[in-house]
Amino acid sequence: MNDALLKIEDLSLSYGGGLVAADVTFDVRRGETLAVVGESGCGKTSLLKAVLGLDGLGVAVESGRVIFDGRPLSEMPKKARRALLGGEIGMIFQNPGAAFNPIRSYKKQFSELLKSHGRFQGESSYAEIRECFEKLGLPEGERILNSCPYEMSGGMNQRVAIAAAMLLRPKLLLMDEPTSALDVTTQKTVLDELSRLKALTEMAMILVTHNLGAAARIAERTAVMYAGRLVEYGGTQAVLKTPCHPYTRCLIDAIPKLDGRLPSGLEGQPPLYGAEMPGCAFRDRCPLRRPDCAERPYAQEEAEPGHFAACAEGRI
Amino acid sequence: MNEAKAILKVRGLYKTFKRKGVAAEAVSDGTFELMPGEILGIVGESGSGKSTLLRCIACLERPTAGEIELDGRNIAGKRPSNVCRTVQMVFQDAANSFNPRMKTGAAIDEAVRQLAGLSGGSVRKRRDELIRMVGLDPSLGERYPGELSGGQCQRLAIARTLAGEPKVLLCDEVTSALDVSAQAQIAGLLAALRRELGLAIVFVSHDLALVGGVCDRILVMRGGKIVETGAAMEMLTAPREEYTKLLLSSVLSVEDGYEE
Repeated sequence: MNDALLKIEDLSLSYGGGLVAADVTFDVRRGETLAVVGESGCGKTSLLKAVLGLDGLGVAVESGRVIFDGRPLSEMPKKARRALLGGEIGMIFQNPGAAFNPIRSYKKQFSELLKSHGRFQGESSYAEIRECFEKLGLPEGERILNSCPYEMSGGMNQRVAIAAAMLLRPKLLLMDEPTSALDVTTQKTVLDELSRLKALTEMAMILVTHNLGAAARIAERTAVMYAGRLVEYGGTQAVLKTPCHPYTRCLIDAIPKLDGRLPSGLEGQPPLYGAEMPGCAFRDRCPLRRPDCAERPYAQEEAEPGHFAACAEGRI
Repeated sequence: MNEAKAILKVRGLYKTFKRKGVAAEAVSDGTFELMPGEILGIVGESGSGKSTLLRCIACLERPTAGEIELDGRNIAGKRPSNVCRTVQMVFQDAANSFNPRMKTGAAIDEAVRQLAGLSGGSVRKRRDELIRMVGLDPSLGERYPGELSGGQCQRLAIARTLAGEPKVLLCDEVTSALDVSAQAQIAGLLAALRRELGLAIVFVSHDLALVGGVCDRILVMRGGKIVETGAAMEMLTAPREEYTKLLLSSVLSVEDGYEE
């Protein structure tokens, strides 16, 4: 796999002393979108923070490596890592309001952003920004540029934040629930535009979401996380159509369909710091639990080429 | 349905917000009825007036014009304390609807004292009963909101609204901040409460699939106006308005998967 842009090898992460992710191994190829799905607290955001490696995010790498574009991030000096942010690794956070200074016009903030990366070219930059806005469903580009973030709705801010990240054309774009602040009708527009921009620029993306529908829409591959571990990983079609792990199946069954029936949902919630648990962390909520689930060590098995799962009981 | 008397009648409701001298009509000509024991869904984009409509019914906003008849009396423009025994509202962010420095059980106790007028030992008894009603263990009342999951917090927020035995429950995006696994459960809880207590519920959400699963009737709002009303199944399978069709096509499904 020479075309892997990002490689994560046996990564274990801790947050405030507790293990939040363990034995995570995956890669993201150039120009590929990987969706990481799971419930709140499963460690998916911690994973992004580890790739980003910003200080003050609270996530510490316990063991394992993060390799970006051939360079081991986890062994690089802070300054060199910092230089990668924005230009090579972009990030869109869940809370769009926090990404901007609320009382400074977008125009000033965008020119600062471009100048700090040495890419500001006056009016032609603004034209590019307006064009990017338009693609994301924000037609009045000039008016938005002259506005301040506090005057905008959450959904608009989020789309501006996406535009800001895209402008720098990073090789890898990390997105933490980028569409959950958006309206249903704009969600689809933004997701489709992201995949179109991605195809044009050969950018790879990691989409962290609890919305399996969003994963199905734009991701080539999907990883399902539970209690800090990857429980299933493979092509999106394979993972969502023929899931192996009972947890993946439960998540899919919990989504309401347009058939007028209410799905049963999934009882209980993931254990905190589940990565420290021996055996399968999902066993207490699992409808297909067997007596030996508490002892079985965590291991990924290849169900079919490129489709891995820690348990195959959910397969029909 | 015709012989039964509506528990809530909204007629010609208008709400206009004025900002810097510019008037914005958040709700215009809102007219609908809610039957006892009925679950009515309201869908629409942000800014379509769904929340404002609910806030007017809960008397958290004073309508500009129109009538709101709740259980036989006109409540438009009354103070919340006048109606809180009959109508209660649950919000999107459950954790923020509790005082973060107060145990959730104590917060429910306050509601029990004020809305049900109980005191002494019976308060604690009623609190435990309410927490059981929403499918949780009473021991969760000893925790702070920050120590609970979103789903648990939302259940406790619903338990608190039931203290005064309301007849109408207004739910404003109560599931949208929750995980998929918890969303359907909260919706299921509401359906169970309707069955057991005969509660009438207005369920506002932008998730049309979820609304279709839990509601009897659906009302579609756009730009402050009600553009379409109909039985839930009918709206999902044979919507008339273009806008309803657009909302339906926006539902991201696992089936329309990624194509190479």
